Amino acid sequence: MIRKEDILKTARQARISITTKEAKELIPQVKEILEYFSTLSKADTKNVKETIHPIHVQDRFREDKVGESLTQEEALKNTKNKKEGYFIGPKTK
Amino acid sequence: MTALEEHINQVKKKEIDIVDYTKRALKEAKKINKEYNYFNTISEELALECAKKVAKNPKGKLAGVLVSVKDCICVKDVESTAGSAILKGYKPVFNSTVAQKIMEEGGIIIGKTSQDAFGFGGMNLNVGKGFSIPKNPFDKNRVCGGSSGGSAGFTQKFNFAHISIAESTGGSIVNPASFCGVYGLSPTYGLVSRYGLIDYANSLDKIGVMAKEIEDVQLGLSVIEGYDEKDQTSLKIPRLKDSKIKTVGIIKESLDVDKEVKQQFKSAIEKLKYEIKEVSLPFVREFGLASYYTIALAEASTNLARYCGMRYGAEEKIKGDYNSYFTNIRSKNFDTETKRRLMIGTFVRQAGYRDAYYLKAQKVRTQIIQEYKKTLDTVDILITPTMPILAPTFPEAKKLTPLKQFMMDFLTVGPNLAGLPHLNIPIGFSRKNPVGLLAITNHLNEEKLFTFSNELKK
Repeated sequence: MIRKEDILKTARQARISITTKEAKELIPQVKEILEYFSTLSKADTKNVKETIHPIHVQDRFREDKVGESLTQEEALKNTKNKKEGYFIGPKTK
Repeated sequence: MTALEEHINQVKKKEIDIVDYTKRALKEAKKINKEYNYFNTISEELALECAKKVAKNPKGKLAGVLVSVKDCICVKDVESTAGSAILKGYKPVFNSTVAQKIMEEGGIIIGKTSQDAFGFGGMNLNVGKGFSIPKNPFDKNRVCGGSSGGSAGFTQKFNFAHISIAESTGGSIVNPASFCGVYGLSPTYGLVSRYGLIDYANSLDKIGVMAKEIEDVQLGLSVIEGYDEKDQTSLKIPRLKDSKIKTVGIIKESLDVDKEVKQQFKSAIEKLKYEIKEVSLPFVREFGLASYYTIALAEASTNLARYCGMRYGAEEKIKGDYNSYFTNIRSKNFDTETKRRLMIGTFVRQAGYRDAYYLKAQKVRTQIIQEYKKTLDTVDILITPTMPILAPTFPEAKKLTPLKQFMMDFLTVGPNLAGLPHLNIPIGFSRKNPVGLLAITNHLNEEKLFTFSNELKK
């Protein structure tokens, strides 16, 4: 049984705060959807491997050499929060 | 020859002043947009720049063709938001491979089309905060379908030489193509590079083409397909040339749809010259939706972790610790559907639930692929209606709970989970609303879909 507290904890993990009004709407909907997903338990998947990609994709490696990439200026173009060629971010506590 | 092919010939022979043509097309696009909300951005400056290049050097497979691009596909220096407020103001400093190829072949990019935020919807109702909902080209009181609703509606409404580049995760090309009465192809997973695509779910996302004519879809695909070293999942194998069809299979479980959709579907296939047989895919019907949504939302919840108010998109003056800053930005800028999907996606990946949901869904996906493959050993093409209903009115669509909206995708999630190419073919109208037929085939067999589509047109 999925509880309201589990869903609120999940929202915190996803870095989303939801208002009381949103919670009232979202919690029963999320519960209903997760309960629907539980129908998967009826599928017999004994000895079946997971599919990561629908078509077999071979891992590809490249030489450890500097290749084409964005310039520092280009990388910083879409933010105001920058200083001396670096991004500014919040404190990590 | 289609009108679009004729236009290309005229451009190449310099019989058309392509700059003037583009100016007139932009004026018309703006007029349509005012009434129907098909664009998030109209890229006037870029379009005119492209047109001038074509005027100087009228070459390429798409010489002088106007191309609209779904908002989740990056175009250099043009705002690309994937329909979400959290990416408002973001102007990519690079082109997606697809956008690059289009312009190299003489295509003229005219703008970024409306979509459900990040592709999170099948009705194009879930647009981000501050975005407008597109209206159906046949009835402004009805939805366009989603998530590539802007691409589909505009393709139907616009009468210049045009194709649209859309994207599908679980049906986002064929669904709106069906509701808007245009052709929409979702190609084999990996055939078209995803480099520069703002991802929804990496193992499911595919970029494809919409157009008024099937030949124009073929042309568009021939431009954007092919191996790309910038995309780790790009296929090195080309499409197969075999276009022959002997047998077509109607998926038995797909006929549980509205009476009028079923009637159109049946009359469309009445005169087909192929051997038609009924096939059954019970596993896909029973577990397809749950498997698809579990995987798609799990992947989405990791993809969207990058939107935190730093580096690009929505941002504020940095204050507080990272948890409170990120939470504040995300909570303010994500719409309700995005929040709902992130919560579900985060939940199914959590310790204690991961095996029961996420890993189980991936195992079920394996069985779904096997079921399709086994069936496609016996038939060349699988067919179903594309959508189980006619395009609903806005009040009808808003009445559906989120779970019921998910259920509307039961015909389209299967081929997307299996990465199979699939095509919406417009087959007629019911109460003045378009009805579409969905044709599915084996990996890299797109040619068979084109053959089938041409046969159906006869």
